[in-house]
Amino acid sequence: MSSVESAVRPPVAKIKKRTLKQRLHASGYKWAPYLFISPFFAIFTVFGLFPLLFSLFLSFHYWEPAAGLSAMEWVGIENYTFALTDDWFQTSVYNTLWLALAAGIPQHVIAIPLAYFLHTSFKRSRNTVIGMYFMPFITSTVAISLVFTTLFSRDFGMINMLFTSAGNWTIGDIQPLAWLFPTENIDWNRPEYTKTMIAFVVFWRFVGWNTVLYLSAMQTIPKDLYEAATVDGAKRWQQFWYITVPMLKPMMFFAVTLTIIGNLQLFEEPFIITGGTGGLEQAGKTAAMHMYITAFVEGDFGTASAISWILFALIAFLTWGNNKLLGEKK
Amino acid sequence: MAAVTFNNLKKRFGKTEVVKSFDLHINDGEFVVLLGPSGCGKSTTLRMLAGLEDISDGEIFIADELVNDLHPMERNIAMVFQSYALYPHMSVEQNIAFGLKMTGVAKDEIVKRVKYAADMLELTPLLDRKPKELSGGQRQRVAMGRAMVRTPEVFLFDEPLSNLDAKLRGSMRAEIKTLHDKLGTTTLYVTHDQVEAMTLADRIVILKDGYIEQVGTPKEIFEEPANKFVASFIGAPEMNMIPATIKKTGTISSLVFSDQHIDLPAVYAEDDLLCTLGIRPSDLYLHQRSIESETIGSVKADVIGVELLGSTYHVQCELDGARFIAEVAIADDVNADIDDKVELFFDISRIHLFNNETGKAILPQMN
Amino acid sequence: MFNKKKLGTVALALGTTLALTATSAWAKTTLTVASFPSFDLAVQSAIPLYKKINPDVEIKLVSLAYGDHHNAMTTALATGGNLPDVMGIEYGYIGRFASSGGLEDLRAAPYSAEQYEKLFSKFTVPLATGGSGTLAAIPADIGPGALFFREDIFTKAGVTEEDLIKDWDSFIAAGKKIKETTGSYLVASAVDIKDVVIRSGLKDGEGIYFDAEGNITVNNDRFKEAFRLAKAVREAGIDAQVGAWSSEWTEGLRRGTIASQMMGAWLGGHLANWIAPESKGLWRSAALPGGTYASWGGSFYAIPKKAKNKAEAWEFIKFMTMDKEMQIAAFRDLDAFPALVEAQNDDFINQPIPYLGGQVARVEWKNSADRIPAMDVHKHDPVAEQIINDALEGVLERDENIDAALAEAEKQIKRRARR
Repeated sequence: MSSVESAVRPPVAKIKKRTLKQRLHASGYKWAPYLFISPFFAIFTVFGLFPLLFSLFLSFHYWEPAAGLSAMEWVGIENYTFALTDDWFQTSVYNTLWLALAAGIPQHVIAIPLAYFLHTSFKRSRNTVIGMYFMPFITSTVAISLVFTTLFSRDFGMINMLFTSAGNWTIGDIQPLAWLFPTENIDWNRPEYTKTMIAFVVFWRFVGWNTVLYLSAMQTIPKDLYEAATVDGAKRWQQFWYITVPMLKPMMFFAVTLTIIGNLQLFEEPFIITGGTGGLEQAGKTAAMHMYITAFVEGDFGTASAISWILFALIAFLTWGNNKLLGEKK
Repeated sequence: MAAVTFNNLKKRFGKTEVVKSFDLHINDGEFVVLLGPSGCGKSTTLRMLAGLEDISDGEIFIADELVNDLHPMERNIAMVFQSYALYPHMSVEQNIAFGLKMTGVAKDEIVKRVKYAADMLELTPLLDRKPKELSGGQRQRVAMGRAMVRTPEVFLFDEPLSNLDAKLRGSMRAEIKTLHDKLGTTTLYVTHDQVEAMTLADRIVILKDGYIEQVGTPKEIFEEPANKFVASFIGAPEMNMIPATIKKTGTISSLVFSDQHIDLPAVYAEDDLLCTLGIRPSDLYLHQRSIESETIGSVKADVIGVELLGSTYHVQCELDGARFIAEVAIADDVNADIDDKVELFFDISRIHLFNNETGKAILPQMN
Repeated sequence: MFNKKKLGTVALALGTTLALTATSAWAKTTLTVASFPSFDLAVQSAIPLYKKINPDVEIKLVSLAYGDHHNAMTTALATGGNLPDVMGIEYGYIGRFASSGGLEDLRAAPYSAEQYEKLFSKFTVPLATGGSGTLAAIPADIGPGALFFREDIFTKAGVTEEDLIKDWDSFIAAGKKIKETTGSYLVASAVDIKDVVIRSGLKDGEGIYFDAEGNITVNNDRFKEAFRLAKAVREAGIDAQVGAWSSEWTEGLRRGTIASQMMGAWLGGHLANWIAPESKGLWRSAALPGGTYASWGGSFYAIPKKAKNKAEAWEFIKFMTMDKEMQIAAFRDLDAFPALVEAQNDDFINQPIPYLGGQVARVEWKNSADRIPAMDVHKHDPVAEQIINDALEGVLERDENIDAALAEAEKQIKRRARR
């Protein structure tokens, strides 16, 4: 038996060897890397490239989508001229920029000192504290917006309750805080308050995220720099101002870019808070919401596409400006 | 300028004591080097002096003032960090001026002092550059400039040369020395490099595990090591250590190792005590004629290797399992080769004896 | 603002429509029905009954939130992919979907649905007709408008139902009286008044904002009167200034600080089920003031042109919309007012409603439904509604001139309804 086996085996081994060699030299082997990377390109083409190009194509057409693809009608740049001269779009861009600033600037102005405070004052419990600040970021926007809608409720909201109880606080006959706090419930859905309310929610949601970004950047600043500054006689706030802030510049650039992009695309919070309408007099309607409403309520996908490209240009421009301002100078 | 005094200084991190009872007086204008292996507590001591580390116990005086609770800037010290700790976003000029700016020195005074420091350190053409545009040596000089402009009473250096390559280290060492000679400021310098210590220091403090092992001038440390640790820590190649027994016959002490023995010129109290014979490789010779001394001893050993190091040979020998090295000059007619038996000669007055139990040097009896 | 459900969550239309394509491997026909809550409940309860009659047909219900459903259907119609066999459509979208051309013309063979049109409340069928005389969907339920009010509060204030519905001046006077004596607001928002008045006096074929020819009809006496009355209500201080479906609104109705609400008859179900179940017996239903007949919402079934099982889909739609028992079941269980006249005439409507203090309200709703004009819906209605609401806001809050506000609104609508 064993002699038979040994007689048979070598050819098998030989064949195996040859096939391996053949495989290695087969022309197919050369395009194997492309095969392996193709899922990315396939997915990117379907979900990234195609929608991109299609929306560009669409932005030059009038299209009532429910009527099917054949209903497209070439209109040139009319969608762009309409969008740009449209006062609703202008209002929404104004709202967006207002929100971007009102929700964006405090995010960083608070997050940087907050991160510095967490960085210097917490040792063991730091991660827990950071986790708490980070919670809003990973919580569903819908849930957050609904909770805040409840908090900001005119007659039954906690915020009005606190404000008016402060405003109506009396000592004897006088109300010492009435100049600062309202004495009657505020209707936060009024156009003059809508943006403030949305900005607060957005701020609340992202301040923790930015704090984490800045904190991680602070942890990379060498400890000796602070020691050197201490020896040089810099007080704590001077160290913060002269060492921490300049050293955070790269992270500031990154975080501000994210904020610009995020805030200019602001959608979910105002959408939920204003019930999808943009609020009274569209005071809380952002550009992204305007785009959505143009597409899905008005049924004008062409103009909506044009708006999205205008928005893209705006974001690109502002990011470029941010790069000029905070980016690395060579 | 000021004298610095440490009184029974201690530092604990939790339960671990890093610095244990550190007593030292540094004279005004003196250049003292703290030398020791990593973890010996030398940097911690320096940082306690700087005020960057709390003092667990004991006292530190700068110019007779107790500084334990003073802020670093109130201690009137300046420090050069191992990493230089230059502010990356500031120019050289701003880096040097930063401390002055923080302490509220007038603007024209700042300009004057920065210029003075920059001239002295040859940094003037570099004033507008950022630290990342500088070479290692230039950064080192900026760090020194930053320390210098503040005209402190005490300079602190925390391993300032360890980030430089060997060649640059040599020239920077010379610059530090020159600077100290010019300014005459009291300096405490921490390093683990014995060459720096030997070349720079007026006095060296050798630390190990939080204790001072020996304080002395470089020459004292090298020639009269107080214990086995100091003896082997200082000097390269390391001091040879050969197990031996010290015997006393009447008034004559002799040393027995392996099957050999030498009579010692001095008299020791110890008799029949296992000890360690320490002798530096450079004190061993292949020929008796190379030594000019009355008292010459010798040791016979097997050669197990010979290495050429340029101007010298390292002859590696073995004696009853104990290995040691003789560093001999090329000029000294090297006649040893592997597997040879050689006799190595030495001046008996240059040997060191250490107590095996305490590690301390065994000194001859005074009479 | 006439949508039953306002809260929609944003979801990827794609991911959800993909679910529609999953077809069964069995020999049986799987009929995909796309719907939204709570309209989908009717389908859910119909599935076991329908299976008894047609054991070979498997019903697969795909239900999304109100907004998501219609977005998904828009996308599906746009691309012609992932379309269901039966599509549920709500009032707010029927105009656009009907004129899109992506749905089967049910008047044509083999459906020949023209013969069935008279079976339904007359105002609903025109809603589902496209521009060129096609019928895109069959009505399933309707929302005849009614005025719900707290009888106990009215009694306390010495106000009668008649005071309320006689005319608008009397309505406002009643509101003041209620506010003075009980402290409750008569209406939730002055905007509600506008919404009712702009629907009054419409003839068949006219739209709210556009006439049959597509001309804008907002700068006229109907709107001016609506704005004037809304302003009068606001100035009289009898509106709570809260929007429908807000937490203030539900709380106001629950606590009786809002004493009446004009809405679709289905609001009775919402009041009884979750808004104010503890006020059982205190609420009543009345006709809308000023002889207005309007509808709030309504649902339809349609068959997409690219549907796979059209014959089965048509059978199912007929079962859901023309089967009297099914319609009555939905009426009874889901408060969905039937579009089928035969179901409206059933003895069931004569049953008293315990929540409304035993009132036989359904008869009144039916009378209302009979008189609702066959309004024309226009695809730009949502845009016009938004513009009109903004204009009213200016009039109410910043005391803008009504004529000027409406003229500006007309200009705005003209601009936005450019195609």
